[in-house]
Amino acid sequence: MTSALGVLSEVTLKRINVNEKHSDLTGKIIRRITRCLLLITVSISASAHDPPARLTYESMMAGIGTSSIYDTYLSPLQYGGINLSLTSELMKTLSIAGGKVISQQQIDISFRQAGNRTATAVSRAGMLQYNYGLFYRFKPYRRLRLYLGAQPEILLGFIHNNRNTNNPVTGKFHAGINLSAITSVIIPVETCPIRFSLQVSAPMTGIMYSPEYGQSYYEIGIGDNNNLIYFSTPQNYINLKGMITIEVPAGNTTFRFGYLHSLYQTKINSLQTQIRTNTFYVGLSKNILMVPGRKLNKYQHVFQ
Amino acid sequence: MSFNRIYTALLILCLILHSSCIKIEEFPDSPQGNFEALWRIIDEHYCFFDYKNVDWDKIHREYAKLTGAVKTDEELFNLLNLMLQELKDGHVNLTSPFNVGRYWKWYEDFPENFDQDLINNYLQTDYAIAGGLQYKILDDNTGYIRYGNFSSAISEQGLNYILSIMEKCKGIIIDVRNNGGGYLSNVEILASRFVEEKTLVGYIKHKTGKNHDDFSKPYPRYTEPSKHLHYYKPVVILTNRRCFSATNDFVNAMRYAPNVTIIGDQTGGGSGLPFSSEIPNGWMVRFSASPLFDAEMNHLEFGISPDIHAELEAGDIQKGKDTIIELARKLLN
Repeated sequence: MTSALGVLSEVTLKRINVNEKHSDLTGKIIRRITRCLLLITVSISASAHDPPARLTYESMMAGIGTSSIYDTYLSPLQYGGINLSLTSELMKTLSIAGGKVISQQQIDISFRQAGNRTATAVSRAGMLQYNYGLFYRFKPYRRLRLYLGAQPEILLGFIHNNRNTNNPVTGKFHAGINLSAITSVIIPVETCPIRFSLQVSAPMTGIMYSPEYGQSYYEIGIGDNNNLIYFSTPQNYINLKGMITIEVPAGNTTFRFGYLHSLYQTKINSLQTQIRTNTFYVGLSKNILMVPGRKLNKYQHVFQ
Repeated sequence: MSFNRIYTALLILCLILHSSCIKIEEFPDSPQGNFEALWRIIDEHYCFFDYKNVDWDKIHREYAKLTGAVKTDEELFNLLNLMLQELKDGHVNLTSPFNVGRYWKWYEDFPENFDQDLINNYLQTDYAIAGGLQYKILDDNTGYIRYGNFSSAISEQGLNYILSIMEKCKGIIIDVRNNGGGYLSNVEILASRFVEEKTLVGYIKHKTGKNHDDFSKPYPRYTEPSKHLHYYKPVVILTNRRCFSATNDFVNAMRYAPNVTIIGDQTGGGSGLPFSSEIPNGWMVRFSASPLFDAEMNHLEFGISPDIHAELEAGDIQKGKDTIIELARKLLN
């Protein structure tokens, strides 16, 4: 999900200075200043000579939370239940446009189980989503970052209802290019900088799968599969995600805690699907500053 | 790029997304709410309104005013079930924890033409079983296969064995009386043993929208010849009014196979592929959603007439004979 949006050398080094002000131990300060100087040297060196230094951010988190499932192919009722999720993210600064372009890869696997209000039926949904995005960084204010970019997306999934007869399951597929915006605010709090970030993605164009209104998978199975793929627009497909994360360095590890609200929605062929989740995440993140040919430092040290 | 432009673009995007948001409309879990939910599910999904000439709006007017008097779950169930019976459809069921609403007039008002004791006289105790199939070669060298439920598995290996030992028979009787249906995949497995070439057996349509006449173009359905052992000698299919749903579909498919004769009573029908849904109190409703037709685009909802009409006769029953099996044996001999 949205993540280490301040993982750029410029931000990093400024944060070091802020953190240093609060350090009591002279030795620590000296060591950190030395470390900062080293980073600054590397950064300046990298920007002065091609190719520049690169920062890579990796994160893996597991989440648990609540989920609602509404799919009119299966039922007119909204189901409520749990959401389990695994998400991984990889962000890199690219050596173009002066390091202002970043790439973002996200893989998200989720499983949802929900029941109707009277607990007489159960729906299960599984989804696998992959995004690769390229973002350009803006800096409207000192601690605010705004990233705008395009984000190809592939989503595969299903929703199953345990008591339906010839409509027990419906498949989900979307492939397209989303416009994506990430805003990120970083608030330095002693040694624990809190990063608030929000990512909003909306498909500008793409293709999506849907059966027709009353089409059975039996009919699709015998070959009536000519009208299953449609163009997606923000009018018929929404996939919004908003996440707040906090990263806490501890020794050589950085713990990452997050809260995600997501909305997945399709509206096509008079069929409606809506899955909302509220998920709390915990995981690890890793920030690596790279200069050509070698790994120089671990980013979490910068926070200390 | 100016930030004013970016924020304007984001604002427009937000407005588009907001206008796209689904407004989930759920009815309350009250007698009126459950009634309206059920009426609407059927209104938007049921596939035989025009064919059966059902005025569903009129039915709403008649039954909605009765919901005010409903005090208990049983009363609500009875009212909703009564409304559904107006559809005269065996695939329409309302399922609650304490009862299953159904319409079974398609066989209740007709002679059963089936007696398991009589069938036992033919199978005796030494019949063989292969999945859902019971079979035996009768003393006049007629193969007899009893298939009572299309939900019961049929394996290709089992069929290979049965057809190979019945190769020497003069013909085969496939008795699907009282078979209330099951999986269409089993229909295809069984029927594919009796066609020589890809054979058009019918069409299927589905609803494309909520209006009563929103339907797709008919899509053809074929029986593909099996890659396994085939049987081209005479075959007789035994039917009665309780041949429903997938069994109705099997009888239809076999009508287009060579050397096949249908003997017995008209089948029960049930040619709407059923979907399921539910109402706010959790009761499940099943309904016909996708109509199946024969190769001439005739509806099969009310059954298929046999080639030779036959019924169990009292005199034969007294002698322990099944009139319909006896007629089939005569035909094959």
